[in-house]
Amino acid sequence: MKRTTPFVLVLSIVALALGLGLNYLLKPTAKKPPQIEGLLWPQSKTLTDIALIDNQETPFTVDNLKGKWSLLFFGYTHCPDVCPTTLTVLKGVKQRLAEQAQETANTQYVFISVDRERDTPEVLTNYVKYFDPEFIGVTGSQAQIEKLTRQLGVVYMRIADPNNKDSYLVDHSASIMLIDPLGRMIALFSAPHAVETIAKRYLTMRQFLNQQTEYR
Amino acid sequence: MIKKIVFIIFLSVLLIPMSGFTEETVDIPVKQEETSAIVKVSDAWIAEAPPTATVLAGYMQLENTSDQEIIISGVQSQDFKAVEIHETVLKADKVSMVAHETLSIPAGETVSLQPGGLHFMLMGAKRPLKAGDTTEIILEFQDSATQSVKIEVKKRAVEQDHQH
Repeated sequence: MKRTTPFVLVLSIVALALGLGLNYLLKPTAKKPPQIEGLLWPQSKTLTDIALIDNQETPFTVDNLKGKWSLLFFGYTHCPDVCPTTLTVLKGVKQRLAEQAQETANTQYVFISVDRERDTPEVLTNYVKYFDPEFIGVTGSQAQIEKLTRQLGVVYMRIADPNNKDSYLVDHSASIMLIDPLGRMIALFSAPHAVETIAKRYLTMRQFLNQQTEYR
Repeated sequence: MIKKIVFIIFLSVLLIPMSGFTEETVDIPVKQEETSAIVKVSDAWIAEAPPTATVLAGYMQLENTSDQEIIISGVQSQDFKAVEIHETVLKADKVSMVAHETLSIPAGETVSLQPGGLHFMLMGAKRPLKAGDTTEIILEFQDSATQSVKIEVKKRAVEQDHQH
């Protein structure tokens, strides 16, 4: 009895070490998030309950995001500097990604207006089509827009224009968000935006994410 | 020899449009007595906006070659209801537009009005302005002097450089 005690002890330690070692070795490496700036995976938030309208006045819901990769940007058409600058960058991204059409298929570009009062579907159509005929403009009631912005953690705020009482400005998020084909917010591109940075990160993200089981 | 002359002529022709761009200060007679160039204006352009947009942004470099601070206290244009001095400010992912009452150009320095930063916000376009059109803005200085600046409307360039 006394003789077996040290033996059992040693055996237990060996077994434990072996178990831990094997656990470390066999851990699926794919579960380790890669170092791609802006990638949120695996902390991806599934979007639910979206009831907006696009610039053609047709409903824009979670179904419009599913099966596609969507680059979302929030803004408003009365914004003369940062919104057109960002949409011009997105046009550049679209042109750049055309070089890798196969790897970047099913990419859509969505501009979501946070200024329902002035941005009617018609105004939005003229606005987004100016940048690219395939860009989609989306709007909706304030409650519906807030439902989406809250899920995405996007802030926006209506501010009175100190110099012009008939006008107002809207502070808004400057990030471009990437929604994956499962309708999850998967990445965030922070401002200031540059075509090549977004294109490269997006391509790297898609290459990585395509290897994950949930996309197969 | 002939080749050389042809080359020089070619170069001169190339330089003609450039001379117009580097010095955009155009002095036209305005009601005020002071009309000479107070600030050196270069790279002045208004970004063409989508057809329905009534708000446009104007960009330029403002160089103060004097040894005294220059303060712009207002901007006007016949083609717009109002022009304001604005700045796009990015803070913790939130982008805001800040209106400035005045714009200071310190002695010997250049202030850049460029996309994503300071700009003239041109509101209430009275006529549609397309790429290639020109308009005029009047800079009003704190000492009540004015300066007229001719600005061309241009399309925003899509960044093509792959070497970032």
